[in-house]
Amino acid sequence: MKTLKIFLKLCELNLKKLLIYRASFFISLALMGMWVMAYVILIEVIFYHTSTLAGWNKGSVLLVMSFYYFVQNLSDIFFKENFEQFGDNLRRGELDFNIVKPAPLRLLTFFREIRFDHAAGLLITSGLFTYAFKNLPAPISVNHLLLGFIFALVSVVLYFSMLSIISTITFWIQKNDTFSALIFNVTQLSRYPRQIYRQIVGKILTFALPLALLGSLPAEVAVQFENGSLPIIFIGITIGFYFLGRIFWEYGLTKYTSAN
Amino acid sequence: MPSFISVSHLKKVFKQDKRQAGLIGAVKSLFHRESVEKAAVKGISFDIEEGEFVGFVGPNGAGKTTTLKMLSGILHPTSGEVSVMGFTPWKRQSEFQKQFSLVMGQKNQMWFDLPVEESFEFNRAVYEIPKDIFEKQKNILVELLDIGSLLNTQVRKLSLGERMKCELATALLHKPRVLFLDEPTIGLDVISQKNIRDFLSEYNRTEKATIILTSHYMEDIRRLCERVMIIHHGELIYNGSYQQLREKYADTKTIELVLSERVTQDSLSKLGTVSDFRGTMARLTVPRERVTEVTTELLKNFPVDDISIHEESMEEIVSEIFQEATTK
Repeated sequence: MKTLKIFLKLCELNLKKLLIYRASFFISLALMGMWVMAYVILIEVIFYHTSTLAGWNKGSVLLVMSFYYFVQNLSDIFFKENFEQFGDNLRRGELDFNIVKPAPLRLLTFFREIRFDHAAGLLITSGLFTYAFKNLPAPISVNHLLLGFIFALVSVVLYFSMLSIISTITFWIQKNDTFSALIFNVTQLSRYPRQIYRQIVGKILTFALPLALLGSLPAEVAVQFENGSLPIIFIGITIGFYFLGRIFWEYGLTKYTSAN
Repeated sequence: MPSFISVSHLKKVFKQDKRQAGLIGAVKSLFHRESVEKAAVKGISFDIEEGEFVGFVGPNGAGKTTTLKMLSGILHPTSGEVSVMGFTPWKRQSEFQKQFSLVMGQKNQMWFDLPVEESFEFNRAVYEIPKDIFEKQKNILVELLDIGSLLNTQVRKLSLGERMKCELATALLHKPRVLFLDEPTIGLDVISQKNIRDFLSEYNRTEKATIILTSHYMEDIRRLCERVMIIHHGELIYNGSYQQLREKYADTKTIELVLSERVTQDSLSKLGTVSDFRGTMARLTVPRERVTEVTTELLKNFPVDDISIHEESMEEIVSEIFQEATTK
């Protein structure tokens, strides 16, 4: 309850900040629009030459992309920038005031800067969803779409946990930009259906470093794709990563050296 | 019964990488990096009772801030034990964190782009302060610190002195029983320094809060602290009252003279060490126990227009102690 209250307070303060710097809302809208447009054109080109991709039709592939951008939008809004700045903050000893506060430390650290200006991306993503629905061979039920969004939120938790684990390494190596950039880049693999990744790469991206599932699995749930117990496994993997991230963070914190 | 704050054999060692300067040094360090261990705090022990106002003095790099960071749970010590109000700080228990505050003169905990009041509200949520208690405490602090007109001003638009007053108010909203202050007056002008000092003195008196203060300004320590702890190269070299410090180390006094006629330096040298001489103005350093005798002699045998007697300044005393410790 307290965590939720603090989170809402962080949202409120950042919303007030947004009103001070509103220009970045429109910049964000334009940038995100261009990115999404580029990938939609790519999908259009691919499906101009073929009717299915690894068993997926055009509408479903666009749905995977929509869920991927939805997960990215939420991470862009709530925590991505904090992870990007974490290394610098650590070197400058900026964690000091967070550590002494009676509140969850990762909440104060990774949700301090909430970028509501990036909510502009959600407008673009909702347009992408609409375009995906129009291209689906059959409409999907509201219940399954809702389930898809719930799994998208699970994807956000998984993504947060993975970034947290990567960031915790910074306590030892002080500068960790390369790892974080690598994760951001690898995450882009989940823009496409997981089935396009074959053999060992597919296994790694599904079970070991389940980045391929971030966009794919919510879409599979929404279109009722036959995937056995994968959704349950996905929830299990997310819980595992969440607690691993938390334990690792607590251990990393013992190595914090602050700065003068 | 254990002390309110108890520190036993506290030690903190940092590992530092050594690297040669220049491009060649940078390339070499890619393959082979030497590291050295530097003990910032070398097994210090002390106790502090509830309500005490203690000054922590030392030159740059002496280990003051590192000690405060261990007492507040920011850093894990290499070895040793600490108990603050019965809690081990680095376990970071919520009940402990709600009872203390840390203020650092060189760091900002407020929301830079938002008005001061928003930082107050944020701390209210974090410390779970009931609305009525929050309003009451806020009003007290606003009045004591005279910051009523600043509450709706963006933090980044405040002057350094105004910001520090607001930082203090933010840190005290939850009425902490222990306050760690790291150089709260650094960079402030004399008026702002005095305002902060007056406030801290009043807060300590009315709230019975236990305060540990580090400062480079000896005036802060002299005016506020009953007890002084001096740390040098990570070791505690003095722990006692300000008065005892003066008695132990300040064994001389300075007599300043203004004369109506020129006298010779030799004639004054017989009475004490002449540290400054300009014909009709002079400064004599004499042992504390001979001050009365020398003053009588001066008034009797010299054309004295004005005479004043000064204690050794705190800066001089501490500087002497540091020099003594360095040469040991």
